[in-house]
Amino acid sequence: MGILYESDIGPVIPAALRVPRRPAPLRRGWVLVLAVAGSIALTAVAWLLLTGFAAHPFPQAISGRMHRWGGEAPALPAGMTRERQIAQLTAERRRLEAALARKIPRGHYIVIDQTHNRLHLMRQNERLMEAVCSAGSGMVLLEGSGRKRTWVFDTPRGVHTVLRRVEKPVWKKPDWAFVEEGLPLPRRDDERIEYGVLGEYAFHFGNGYMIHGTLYERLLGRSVTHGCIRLGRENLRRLWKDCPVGTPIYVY
Amino acid sequence: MSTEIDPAARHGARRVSAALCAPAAAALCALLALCAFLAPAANAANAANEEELSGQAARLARENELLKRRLELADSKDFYLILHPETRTLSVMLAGVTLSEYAVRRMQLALPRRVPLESDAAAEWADRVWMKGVLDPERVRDRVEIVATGDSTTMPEIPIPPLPEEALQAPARFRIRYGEGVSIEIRNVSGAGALAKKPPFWQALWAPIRRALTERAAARHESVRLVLQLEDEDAAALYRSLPPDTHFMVLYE
Repeated sequence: MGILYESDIGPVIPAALRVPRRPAPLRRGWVLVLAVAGSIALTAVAWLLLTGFAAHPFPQAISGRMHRWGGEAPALPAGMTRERQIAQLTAERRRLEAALARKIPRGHYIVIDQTHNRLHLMRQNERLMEAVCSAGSGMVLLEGSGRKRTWVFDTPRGVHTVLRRVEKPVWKKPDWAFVEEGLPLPRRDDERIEYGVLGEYAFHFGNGYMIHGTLYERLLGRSVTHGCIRLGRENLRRLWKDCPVGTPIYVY
Repeated sequence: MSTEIDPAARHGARRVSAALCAPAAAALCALLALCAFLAPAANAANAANEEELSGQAARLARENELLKRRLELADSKDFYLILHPETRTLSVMLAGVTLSEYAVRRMQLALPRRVPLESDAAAEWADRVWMKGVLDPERVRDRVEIVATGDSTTMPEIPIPPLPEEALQAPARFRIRYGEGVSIEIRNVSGAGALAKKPPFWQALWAPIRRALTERAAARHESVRLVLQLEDEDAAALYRSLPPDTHFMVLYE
């Protein structure tokens, strides 16, 4: 057994004065955790900053770019001067503008927003009348027995035309009207006739679809129809006055 | 009869002609120098004129190209959107007729950070017609289904539908996505929408992180996003009524 000197064990400190030291492994663990968390956070911030989208004001941000990029003059054909080419291009522009302008109907036309149940009477991009209407309900009717047919009550989107105008229209009830009420289909055509339910006027625009009046004006503004467009009495009168056969109808 | 010329007079005449020739030669030289000096300037003017004409031809060619595309769209049976950056309007159109028009409050072009603004990709998209836009989030229309029993006493009563504004709540922001990573993001002004109800605390904390993650995931497949801010009512109306597969074109003249 060797001799133990004070220099080997350090200064001798009384037990009362000794500062308790935290266990070293635990402190190192915390430092490690903080370092990892910090690195992750920094990486995440860097990732967020360096990826994703950056917004620029439009079109100012790319105005110069657009002009430069669209700035290639068309090649000059042999024997043609630049002035002549410009004259040709100007003439072509006039022709195209005229063709585009011709797309807008000359007379009155009808625009129907079937989602919000609004009908607009228009002329040359000018709104002459805005009316609350009712469009197709979107309901699906399934025939439980018999031919098991299905009907979807949507107003068809697209461009239509007034094909026929009828004063004091009579409704010839289609099959779905009986199926919906749980009634048997009539054997005779005259059993399908119903008077007064379509209002004063009707404008047929194909496949049985019409713009017509209604007995239930309180439901205007709601999508309740079987695909036709219902309109209030006064607005229907205005249409009757301004919309002859051939008037375009745009439904969206 | 002969005419005799006095030699002194002849000499005088020579002197006069020499005196006259010297300034003329000098003037000629000056003129030549001026021509030599002006020739490059004239060439430069010609070049400038040619450049101006080329620019005019290019502008006309581009305008004609835009008109042709509009005409093609107008000839088709499809619905399309046209953005007019100068008048700040977004129009829903069909067959050359404006169906509805919305004022755009603010326009921004959002590009992935890896794409610099100077890149052609930043501008190139604006010169194309983008086809068949898909609404995101998808607009789901609740359809009432009725099965006819064939017996009027047992037929279910058809409910009166709510107003469209009640039936279909629009989100505060939505996208119309086109192919090749182009999309339009429509935001309303207030930032409030059907999806902006006050969420629980933890959800509120998690929501922005989740959105950031989703955005970044989407950014991998997106190349250009055009952000348009509309009035609340307009944004909601557009969301509710936008026809399916609507094309899109920027009218940048």
